[in-house]
Amino acid sequence: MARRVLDTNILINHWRRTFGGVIGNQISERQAVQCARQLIDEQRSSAILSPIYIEYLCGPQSAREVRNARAYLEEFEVLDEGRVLPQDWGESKRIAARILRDRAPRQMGDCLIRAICNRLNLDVYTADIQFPPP
Amino acid sequence: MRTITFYRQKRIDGGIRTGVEVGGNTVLSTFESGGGKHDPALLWYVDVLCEGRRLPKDSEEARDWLSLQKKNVRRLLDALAKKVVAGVDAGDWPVHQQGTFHGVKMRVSCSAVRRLEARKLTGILGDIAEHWEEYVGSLAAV
Repeated sequence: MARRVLDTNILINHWRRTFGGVIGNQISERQAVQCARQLIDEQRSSAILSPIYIEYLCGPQSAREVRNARAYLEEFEVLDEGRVLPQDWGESKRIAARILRDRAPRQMGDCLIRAICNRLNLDVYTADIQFPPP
Repeated sequence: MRTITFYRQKRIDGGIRTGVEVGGNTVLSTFESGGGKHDPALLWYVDVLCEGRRLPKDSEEARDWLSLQKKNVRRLLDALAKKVVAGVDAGDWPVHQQGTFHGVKMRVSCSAVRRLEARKLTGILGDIAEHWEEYVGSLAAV
């Protein structure tokens, strides 16, 4: 059992803190790997889920950035092993249909992450206060 | 280098998960249900990471060893609480405090997502220090 899943925003916030205003194309794969290892050490967890992997991969704006993102993500353990089950989609639909207190729209990735966490009995460390309620 | 990690973390639904990892694998664990609607997002967590060459590998030996570290853990938790009281910017979580005791490097870390919970963290750190043996002793083998 992993202690906690790191949400996409935790990965992105750490990346931004590490590289600040450095242009993505000036960052090497080695630096990207080092950045991931630093976060894993800091958080004492390397656990992510496949929707988190994909969400992170949606950010890069060049082929170089995609390579860096892949190198970065390879350091993490995808706990669901890419297996998103029909029950996860069903649970996601249920979560997506819940209206938030501030009526903000729900994000598909968050709903899916939450559904997988529910199935695998995992806790998720997220900076997102909008993380969808049950 | 061997590692033993004690962790305690609270979710938005009130559930509290406490456990011990030996070499990255959870060997002791409990989950206290919060009674609220199921929500896996964390409010806070506290980790106590121990690194050393002669740390026990067996789960029960790890439990006994951790129990004996009460004073050292308390010292680090108290120091960490002072850091939290001094103020932590949102981007600075997790905060750490470390020390070395008889060749074992210990690092205590804590994090809170929401500002309100950050203010409560000093109490949480104090609670773990106060009930250290109880928390370690009550964990079930995984």
